[in-house]
Amino acid sequence: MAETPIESTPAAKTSAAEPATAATRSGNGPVLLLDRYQINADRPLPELSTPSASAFAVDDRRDIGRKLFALVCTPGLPLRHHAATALRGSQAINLLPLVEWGTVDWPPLGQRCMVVVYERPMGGRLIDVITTEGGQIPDHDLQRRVIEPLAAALQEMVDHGIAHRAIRPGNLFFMDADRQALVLGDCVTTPPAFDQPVAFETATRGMATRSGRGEGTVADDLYALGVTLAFLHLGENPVADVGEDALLYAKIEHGSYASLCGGGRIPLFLLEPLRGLLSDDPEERWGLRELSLWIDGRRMTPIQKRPLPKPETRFPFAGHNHVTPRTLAHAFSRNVGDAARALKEGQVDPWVRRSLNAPGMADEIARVVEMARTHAGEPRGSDDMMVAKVSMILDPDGPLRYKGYAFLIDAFGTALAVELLRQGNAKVGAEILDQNLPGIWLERAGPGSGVAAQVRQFERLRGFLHANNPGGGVERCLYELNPGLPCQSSLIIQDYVVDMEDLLPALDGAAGRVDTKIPPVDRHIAAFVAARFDEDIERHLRAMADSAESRKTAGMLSLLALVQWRLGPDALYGLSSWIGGLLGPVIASYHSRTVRRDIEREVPRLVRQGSLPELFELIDNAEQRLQDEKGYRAAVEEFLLAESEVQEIESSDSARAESAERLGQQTAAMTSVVVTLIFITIIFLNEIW
Amino acid sequence: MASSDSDGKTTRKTNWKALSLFVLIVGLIWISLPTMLMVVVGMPPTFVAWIIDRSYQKSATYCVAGMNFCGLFPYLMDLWMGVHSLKAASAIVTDVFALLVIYGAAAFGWMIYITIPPVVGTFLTVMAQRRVAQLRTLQRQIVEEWGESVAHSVTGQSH
Repeated sequence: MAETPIESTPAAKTSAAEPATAATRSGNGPVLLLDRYQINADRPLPELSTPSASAFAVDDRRDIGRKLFALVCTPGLPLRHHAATALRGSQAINLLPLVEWGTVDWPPLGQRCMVVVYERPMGGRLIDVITTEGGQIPDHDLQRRVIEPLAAALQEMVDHGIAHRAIRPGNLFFMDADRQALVLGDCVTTPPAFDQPVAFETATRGMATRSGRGEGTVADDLYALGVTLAFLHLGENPVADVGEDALLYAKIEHGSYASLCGGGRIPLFLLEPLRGLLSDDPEERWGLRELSLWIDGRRMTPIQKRPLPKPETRFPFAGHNHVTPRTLAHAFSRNVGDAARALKEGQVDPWVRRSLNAPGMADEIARVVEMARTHAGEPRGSDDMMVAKVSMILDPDGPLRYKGYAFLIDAFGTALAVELLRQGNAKVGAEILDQNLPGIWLERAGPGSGVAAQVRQFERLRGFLHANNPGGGVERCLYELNPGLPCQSSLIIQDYVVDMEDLLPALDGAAGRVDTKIPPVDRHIAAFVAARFDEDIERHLRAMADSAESRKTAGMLSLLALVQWRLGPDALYGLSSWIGGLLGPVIASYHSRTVRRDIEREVPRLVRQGSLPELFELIDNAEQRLQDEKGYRAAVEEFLLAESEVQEIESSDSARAESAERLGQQTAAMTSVVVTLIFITIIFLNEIW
Repeated sequence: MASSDSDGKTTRKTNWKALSLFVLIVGLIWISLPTMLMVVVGMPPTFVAWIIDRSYQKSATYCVAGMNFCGLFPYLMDLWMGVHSLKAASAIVTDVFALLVIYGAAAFGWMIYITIPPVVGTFLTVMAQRRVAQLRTLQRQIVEEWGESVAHSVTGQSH
């Protein structure tokens, strides 16, 4: 994983589509957000940057003296849309005030990026103050200067219905130059806990990948607060030299408190909150109420760590002697090949059955292994699938682990988005859905308040996944699960389109820089519209899935026309011209050459108007199409009649010769009789007169 | 023709057609012998044509009979308007020129019978070809307006 995802954005890849306009590429000049906030790309503020977002100075054009800064997000990394919406303009105390957010053309990356504008903390970052200026907060000041403001901040977050999920010493700032007002920093520019070191996550969420840690709750924030307090008290990272896996194993086997604070002397007054906040049992862990009571001076008995039941023997695997199934599940997911071998050779069964004294778990594992043997060669019998299922059995509360994915069930969307960002596709995510792993995980989770809704949601997602038509597939799942994810189509990725209103202007702009022989609606755009547009577009999507190029193009145009009709803008000259050039198959779908010529004459005029609905009305007028179809059927019938008459004439030469002879003989007879009658009459009359 | 009744006895059916013809000829001989003489001598080509024309419609017979009678009729008129006697009739039927006219007219009847059918056949063929040309032109116009698929649909149907 790149330390700073911003360095490995798809912009470079997708700019293969075409680079941004010259204006956005040239230089690092300032850009404007909402015609008000001037973001200065040439004035970076590395001291305020986060691992995933770079900070730059901002000038407020309406309030010149206001001190602001902007975090420029990693393109493709989903923003915490709902959190940003909730916190925008909020006057929450002890939270870094989020002033505004939106997208701008960002010259250094040559594409549009999401930026989040904050009030600038004048006292700097707490950790910088401690490390560079020796300004460590004395223990007796921790409550007043850290715990109380952060508890208030968390209460604010609870009031907004969101968890912060980015509490760590590096994300605490002093708002004032006197460094008295401590605030929690940014929490919206990345998926939840994306930038959190493993130490600040509970063992359960820490075992997930960075993108799969999930929204979490205030309980997770309080845990991170406990870790932060421990770090601040010790003045350093006590587990800096410990690897991630080793730290997770230690947390699970010895408890978080012992793992993080075991090596240091904890003062008595901190013992109680640290034990409470670092409790590994979510039920026992301190909530905001307990923390408030403690702040108010009510002292409680510190929570005592209950030791884990020790198994008779340890299970050596991947360099660690495991004493709990949870750590083994984690190790298995990191070493699938070895895990599969151990499972198939029956090494795990005796340990689980006898040492852990869990015959039920052992039976379940045996069933999974047997099923894998039965379905060997099939995806559901693969080693990856077997180990994923066994991991679920060993650690039912842990993340879902499969082929490098490890995510809490509510973080599947962000995990998908980050996989797409890194790999350029979401094949493993699609496999997870296809194999219904979330369904299996939820089934094991048993009945719960949110489980039924999640089961329904994943069923819906599987429906989308299996719908191979435009507007379906894994792309649809991606946008359904990530409301803040910009459209990932290579045509407009650099435009950072998050809202439907921005889609058509982005496509209009793309018309000038991409190959206009390809259609302007690809699978990503179709899925984006299907997920974000509040209209029934099934009919349009079905047409786009048609094998006939004409139906496909007409469906695409009808979809875009509907979007323009509903959301504007009034004129889309570039996009109209782009689509106008693709209408050949649609025009050719008319049978009548006269109608085709009429439409071809009209198209340039409507393209100049930039109106997709009118363009669509021209090329897919129902009455005109009906008349064309009727005319065609009549023409076919007429052609058929003519052909059959010609065939009849050409095939009846001998019959006609016979008929002609007979008719000739009759004619001769008649001629003879008539001549005779005339002759007799003339002779007779001549004789009489 | 013989036929058997229920008793098994054979009875002879009366040929009324032959009997009527016989009575008519006898009647005509009795009424107008000179005319009958001229008819008997002048109309053999018609009788021959009737014999050799095996068709149902007897077109050759009509052709020859008509022209044959055209050749005979002026002489009949001379007989009927002049002296209506066997002598006058004999004079006519022994006149080579008169026989040449009568039999020549009959030959002309054969000529009509021989020449008109090919002319009619040729005419009908030309008409059919003209119709085919008209239909092909119409088909070309249809294809120009509605495209090749119109022809393909016909081909498809014919297959």
